[in-house]
Amino acid sequence: MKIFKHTSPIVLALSIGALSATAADFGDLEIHGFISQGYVKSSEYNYFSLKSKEGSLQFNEMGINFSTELSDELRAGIQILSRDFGEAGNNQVTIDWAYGDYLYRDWLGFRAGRVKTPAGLYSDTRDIDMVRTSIFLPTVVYEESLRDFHVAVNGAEIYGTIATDDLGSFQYLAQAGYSDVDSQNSGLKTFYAAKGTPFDGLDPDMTYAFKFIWNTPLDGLRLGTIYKRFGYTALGTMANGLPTERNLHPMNVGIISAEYLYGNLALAAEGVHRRGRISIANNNINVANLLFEDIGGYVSGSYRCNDWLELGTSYSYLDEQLSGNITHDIALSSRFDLTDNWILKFEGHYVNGVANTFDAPVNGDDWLMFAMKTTFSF
Amino acid sequence: MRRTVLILLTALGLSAHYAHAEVVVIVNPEAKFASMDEKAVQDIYLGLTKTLPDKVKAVPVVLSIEKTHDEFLKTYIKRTSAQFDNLWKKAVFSGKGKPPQEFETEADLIAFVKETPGAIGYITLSDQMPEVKIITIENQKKGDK
Repeated sequence: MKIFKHTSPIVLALSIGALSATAADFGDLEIHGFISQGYVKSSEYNYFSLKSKEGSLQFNEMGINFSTELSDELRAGIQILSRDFGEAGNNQVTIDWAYGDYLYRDWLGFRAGRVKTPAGLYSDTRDIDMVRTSIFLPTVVYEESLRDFHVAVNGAEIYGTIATDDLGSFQYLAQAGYSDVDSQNSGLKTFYAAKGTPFDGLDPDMTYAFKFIWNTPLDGLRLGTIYKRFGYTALGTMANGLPTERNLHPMNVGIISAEYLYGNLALAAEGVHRRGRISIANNNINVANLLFEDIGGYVSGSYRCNDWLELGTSYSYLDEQLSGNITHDIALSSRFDLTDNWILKFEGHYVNGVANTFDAPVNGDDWLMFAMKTTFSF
Repeated sequence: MRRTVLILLTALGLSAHYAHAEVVVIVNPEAKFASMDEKAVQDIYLGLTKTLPDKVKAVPVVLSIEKTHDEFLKTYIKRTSAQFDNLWKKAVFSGKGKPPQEFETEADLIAFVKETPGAIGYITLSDQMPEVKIITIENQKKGDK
């Protein structure tokens, strides 16, 4: 489907805006949507698959969701998403999430369909630009280039909240399912293309994910941890017509998270550890086995100055032990709320390291990136 | 008799929170409880839990009157208006919830709470007691219980 392919996001935004400045509510059916357009310019290297050295406008998102409460316990909904991020996405229309949600009690609920995969405190809302100060979530935890792979699985999950008298409340989630990507427009294709590896499709293993959050008795403080296990076989065809495979044997990801809200100040910190093994087979002959391990994390802070201005900053660190690459990324962000439904953001990054690029040599130079983005939502 | 009960409940509420806030929490008159822990109110307004202490499904509502809304959020929910809006946008755009219904006037909110089982809202304290139940909000950390 290419219904958005040649349509300017701005024109669509104006069309949607003309329909409604606030969320539409057709009886029990709620409709919400958003549309973004961004621009990225970098100095030494391209930011992932964006041609950002030249300055790139291939950076937009559009989404619309429909949801309804079928009964006190049962909800159902779907969000359709179109996204362009350099060579990934290409404004193809995909299902971002779509599930039925049955809440038996506060402490036990069940969702089935295409459900969001936990990958940090903010993974559920990484598509939703208007709920944060920054344009980009720290890529050390929220891998931008592989977003479509990590965003959701087709499967099921149980979840719940257990409230206590003295210890705050505890949220849990356990999930299993399969990743499903659009092979021709997936971030995985750009990821492998950057390595000179053909990518025709994906044969995913079952993904398991567990999330636990403690909303502590201290107002505004929540702590969390996530464990995720996934794997896949990336299928490709070499120039000589023979098959090649990259097998990601079950990869284990552990994340710890903390968030503290105090008045207009919001602080967050997350750490991540990834460990896995890749085997490469050409024409069904194993030619390489690689063990890799990444360790990283970030700290961030944002402050709401007034009704229309929010400022933020972050520092992130990633140590890719297989390649020896170490990346430091310092970001400054500003967000302007032009109206209740329309925001404008500016962001600058000073980067030492090459984790956020596809075209930099090992141990490349320090580099800068500037991004701006505007989002309309209803 | 009913008026006496309401005045009594109002007095109880004063002992807990009126000293630093003029916003009181109200529930449907049929609710089978007279007080709630502040954390329980937070959990409902933050979408973490969906039932009231009497196990009835909670129907939280808010006012669009900025001063009252901000005071309620600051006093009971410990969030700013921007944080509260963001939280519900996250719920809406991840399919996990529907934001509290918003009312432009206290009279409209009171009428809704009066007619809706499980409804919970807030109003500013006044001499005219509405025909809804004003509940005491207990804060364990401050020893108000």
